[in-house]
Amino acid sequence: MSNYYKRIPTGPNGAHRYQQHPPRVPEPRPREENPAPYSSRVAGYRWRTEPAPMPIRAPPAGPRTDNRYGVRPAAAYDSGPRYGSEMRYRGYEREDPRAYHQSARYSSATRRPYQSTIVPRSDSVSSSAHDAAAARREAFAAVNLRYDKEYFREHYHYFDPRIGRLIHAAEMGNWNDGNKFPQNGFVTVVEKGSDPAHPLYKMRDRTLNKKSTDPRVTAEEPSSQSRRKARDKLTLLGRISYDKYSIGPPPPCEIVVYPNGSATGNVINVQDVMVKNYFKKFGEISHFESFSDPNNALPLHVFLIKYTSPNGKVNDAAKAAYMAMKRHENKTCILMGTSFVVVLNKDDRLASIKKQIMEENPPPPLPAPAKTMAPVMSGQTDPNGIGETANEFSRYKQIRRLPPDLVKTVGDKPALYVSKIFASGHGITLQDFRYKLKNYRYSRFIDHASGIYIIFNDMKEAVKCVRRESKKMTIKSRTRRRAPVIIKLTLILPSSAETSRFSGFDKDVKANGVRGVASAIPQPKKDISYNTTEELVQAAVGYILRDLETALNTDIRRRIIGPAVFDTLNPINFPELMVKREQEKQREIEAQQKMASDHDGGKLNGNLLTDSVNETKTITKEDLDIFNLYGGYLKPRGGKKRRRSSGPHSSEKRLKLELKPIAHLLNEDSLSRETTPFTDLTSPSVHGSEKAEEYSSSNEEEALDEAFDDDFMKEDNIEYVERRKTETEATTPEGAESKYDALDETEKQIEQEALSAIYNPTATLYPEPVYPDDLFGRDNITFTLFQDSIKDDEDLSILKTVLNGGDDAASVTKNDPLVQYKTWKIKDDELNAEETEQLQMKLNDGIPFDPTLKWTDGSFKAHGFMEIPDKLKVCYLPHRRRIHQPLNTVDHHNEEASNEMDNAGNGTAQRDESVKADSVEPASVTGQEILSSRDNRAQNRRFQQDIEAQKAAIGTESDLLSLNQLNKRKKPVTFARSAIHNWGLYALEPIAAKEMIIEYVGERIRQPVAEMREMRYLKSGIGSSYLFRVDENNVIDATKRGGIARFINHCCDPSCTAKIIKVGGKRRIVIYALRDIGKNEELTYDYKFEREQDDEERLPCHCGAPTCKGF
Amino acid sequence: MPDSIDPAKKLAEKFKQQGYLDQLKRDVLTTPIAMRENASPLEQTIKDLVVEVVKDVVANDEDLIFKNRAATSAQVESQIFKGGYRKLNEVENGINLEEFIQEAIKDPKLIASIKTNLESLVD
Repeated sequence: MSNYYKRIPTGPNGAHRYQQHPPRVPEPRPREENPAPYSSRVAGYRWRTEPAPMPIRAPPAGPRTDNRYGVRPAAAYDSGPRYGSEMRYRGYEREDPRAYHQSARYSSATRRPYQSTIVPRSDSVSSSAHDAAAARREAFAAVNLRYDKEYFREHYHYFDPRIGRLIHAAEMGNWNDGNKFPQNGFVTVVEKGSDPAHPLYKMRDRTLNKKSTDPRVTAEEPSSQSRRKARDKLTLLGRISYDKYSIGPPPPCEIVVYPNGSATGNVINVQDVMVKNYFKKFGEISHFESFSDPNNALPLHVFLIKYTSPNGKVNDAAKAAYMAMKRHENKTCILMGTSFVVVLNKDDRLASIKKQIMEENPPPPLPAPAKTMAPVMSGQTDPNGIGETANEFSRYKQIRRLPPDLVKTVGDKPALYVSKIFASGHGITLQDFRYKLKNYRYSRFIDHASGIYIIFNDMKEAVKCVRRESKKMTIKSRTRRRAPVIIKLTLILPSSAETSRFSGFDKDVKANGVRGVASAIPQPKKDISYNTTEELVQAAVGYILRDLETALNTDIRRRIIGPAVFDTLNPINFPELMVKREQEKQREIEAQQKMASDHDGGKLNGNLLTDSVNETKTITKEDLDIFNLYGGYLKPRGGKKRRRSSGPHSSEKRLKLELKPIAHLLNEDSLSRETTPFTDLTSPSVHGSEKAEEYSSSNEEEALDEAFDDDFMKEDNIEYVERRKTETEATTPEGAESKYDALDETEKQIEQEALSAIYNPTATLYPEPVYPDDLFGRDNITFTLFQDSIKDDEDLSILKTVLNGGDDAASVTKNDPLVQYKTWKIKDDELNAEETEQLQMKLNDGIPFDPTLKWTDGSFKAHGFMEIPDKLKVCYLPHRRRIHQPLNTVDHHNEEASNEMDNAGNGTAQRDESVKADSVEPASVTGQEILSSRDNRAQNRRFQQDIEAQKAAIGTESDLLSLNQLNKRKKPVTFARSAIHNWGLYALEPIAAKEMIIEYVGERIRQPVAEMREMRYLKSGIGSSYLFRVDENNVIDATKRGGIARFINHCCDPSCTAKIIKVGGKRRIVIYALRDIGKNEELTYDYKFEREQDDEERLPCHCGAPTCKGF
Repeated sequence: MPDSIDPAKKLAEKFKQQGYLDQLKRDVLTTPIAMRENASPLEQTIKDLVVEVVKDVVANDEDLIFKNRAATSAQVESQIFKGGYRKLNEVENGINLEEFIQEAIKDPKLIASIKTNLESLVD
């Protein structure tokens, strides 16, 4: 730091910022005895009470050259305390009070109070002032300055009051050396004409002698005179939108709709839904609530409607609420003939409105509870103050009774009845009555088939209601032009009020034997009170003992007796009984077995039929077979073994054991051992059956033993012949024959039969050859075909005859190796060719390669470049194949088969197999699961509900939770190579007609931007146009950014159509299906391009539709 | 809200809430029966009597144990409950349960203990 500036700022402790060494604390002065009180010292510390000797004057004009006091001009930096602007004025050096302020606090030395007066410049001071200064200096000369030491003088720059100048003034340089700055100071002003962005500042002298003026007072008149007339009120600012920087609560988004006080009659007809639908037009409603009176649960018809905005912006919701309120500000909202008031829900307006309405409709006061109630006797006045005597109640004769099904529900309560015919005829509902009778304390309403019943707990209330309302209350009819109709209420007395035939046995019979209505009045329950604690305790003891008894009984029954009984009845507890039971069972079983064995071991002699009886003990289905009635010869005998036993006796025996006429079977008891008369044996039926059995058995035997035992059979045959004569029943030889075939046929025989079947005669008009004879009608007869044409020996012999006529025929023999090789070779080649063709067809998806494309001579390249028509490209380009066929999922396989046949035939049918070839794993390509659309819709619905729930939970609107619903309705589609052009969009599952497929997504741009881009794209070589017009002003551009819907190609006969729908307030382009679309079918829609006038600009259309326009 | 509020009922409810009623019930059920062997408590006595009754019933109809046990138990129980547990008295060394319960309830000591507890609750 240069010596130019020696003034060093000091801190409270005397240390300065740049000082490295702590200041030397000077030696304290010795204390004075009896120093002056501090207050006097402090009081005059700075300010003197006496008037200053010299007035303060403005500094003299003109530059100051020297100090009039003989002191050099003040130093460049006046580091004096800035107690006032005067300190900055050169030449005016205020006496520095800091010289004393420290010492004033800490020093006990008395000193004169510092006079904070300006020491005027000597040049401007008059002689008197000059004298005063000299006098002052003399006064100070006697003062012993505290810090007048060498150390302090070196470090600090004091004002020496004795000499009237700064002690180092001579060492200081002039700040205005060279008079660069005006002597009196300067101000910076902006040069006129300078650039406002880069203003130029210049110094201007301060004009000290010029008196300052208030610019506000002396302001010139405004340049432009305002011709606006004076406003009588403040102009309203435009609404400032509420955003995240706004301070204060958000604008109100809720409105309160409540009925106008004057119109309350028809308000009951207004339903909540009507109100909601009406106010829906102002904006989207997020919350709708209607309020009821908590006292009587009647609707107050006060509705709270909260608006929201799809974007989550509060301003939109607030605007909707404001508009709703504003619309009805001057004119009331009328709904269904009822006028409503609409206000914004500010400052908890809703609560005040509800309170007001509830106050207007106070609930009916509860009756004062009576301490003691005495039953009212008939004929007595009512001591309880009910208002009606028993006699008066008794006049309400029971005109009507409750329906039986309501008796239990209503119980012993009075009710009011309104006819159903009347009510339904006028369209009067329970709600109407509820509203009209809201001032009465009813219990409930019942809408019965017979009418409307209003149940009361209290008879008095019911009577009061009837008296006041019956034939006086009116309700507007809904069927007769809203004309008011008078309602007649019929009182139904409580069931106990009815006099019954059994009144004599009734408990409530009074002394005089008359039971009046009064007794049916349900006595209001007493409020029981006890005079003393003992009474209370005693009563409580009574209750407790009663409960104890009940608890004991319950406990004993449920916990003790019940389980004990159950456990005791366990059979394990009675082993002897179990043993006994077992024994009995065993005995029974033994008895049964014995019986069974006895039956099995029945004897023939004299008891021939007992066997049969035992045999038929268990009647089976076979036994009940109707054919058994006449014998069992038609009974199948599968797997029956050969019986070599001969003789009629054996057969008879068999018969008797196995067969029995049904009549006898039914008449016999299973356990009885009765025998049937022997004559049954000789009954014709038995005999017949016997014969039949014998016939069948003999027939069987005959069939089986035919090849081996002819002798044996002869005897049977004789018998058979004999019996056959007496046979009366017809037999079926076919049955025997079929049996024979089934048993003896071998595979060879089956084949022979199949072969021989060809030769069976056919019943046709013209004889048909066995084999088709068009074999030789073909052009190319292959070797195999020739061989196959030889069917039988006849053909071979004829062929030989024909060939033997030739010269070469004799030389060629069958065993010639060359011949063998040749034949093998030919066959092998044919087989290979066939296999190759099959494989090629398979690879080519069943489409044969066009023979014109096959170059038999030379290389393909040698033939030069030639254009191959599109139709032929189908043969070798899989993605060129597509068919325009309607969806038929049921017969799909048949169509495929027919297509194959067609392809094999003419090769013109095209097959849509490209997607299979190109998109092997469509799921992986598109990255989405192929769900059925139903599952997809359910999933999307659940997703939407989740989002709505989260939105409700969060409370505030958030863009994060916004859902593009159209995205969820998208069908599974994928892009692949297309026959129409380059790439196309294909359906991965069948799509029904009129279903939404996908949204055309892209950049949303304005019309002029779209035009510009179109030109740019054309210039850059993008031939395809992905610009889709939404409306006159907006276009969707999917060229650079967009969804896969951009791959949908044009077709003159499209399968889809584009529609513009509004979703979330924005228009979007959505592709819908025009017809049913099959799986893997390409989606197309009509671009609806304008047809170019110029031929050169026209683009050919490759859609391949039958109705293709060509361009 | 009930129309009438009986303080005695409220007090009784309070009494029950403290568990005194259950205690009383337990005391009654564990009362030893003098005339039974080993002076078994009432609960055990009842169980024994029930077993005997069931055995008698089974003895009359042995097929009971081989029938549906739940239905059979219900029938036997209803027979036992009839006439105030009359069957339990008809068995050898049986007791008149109904009478016993009535005596237990009217026991002055029991009443005194109830009163004491009630008074403490009132305070």
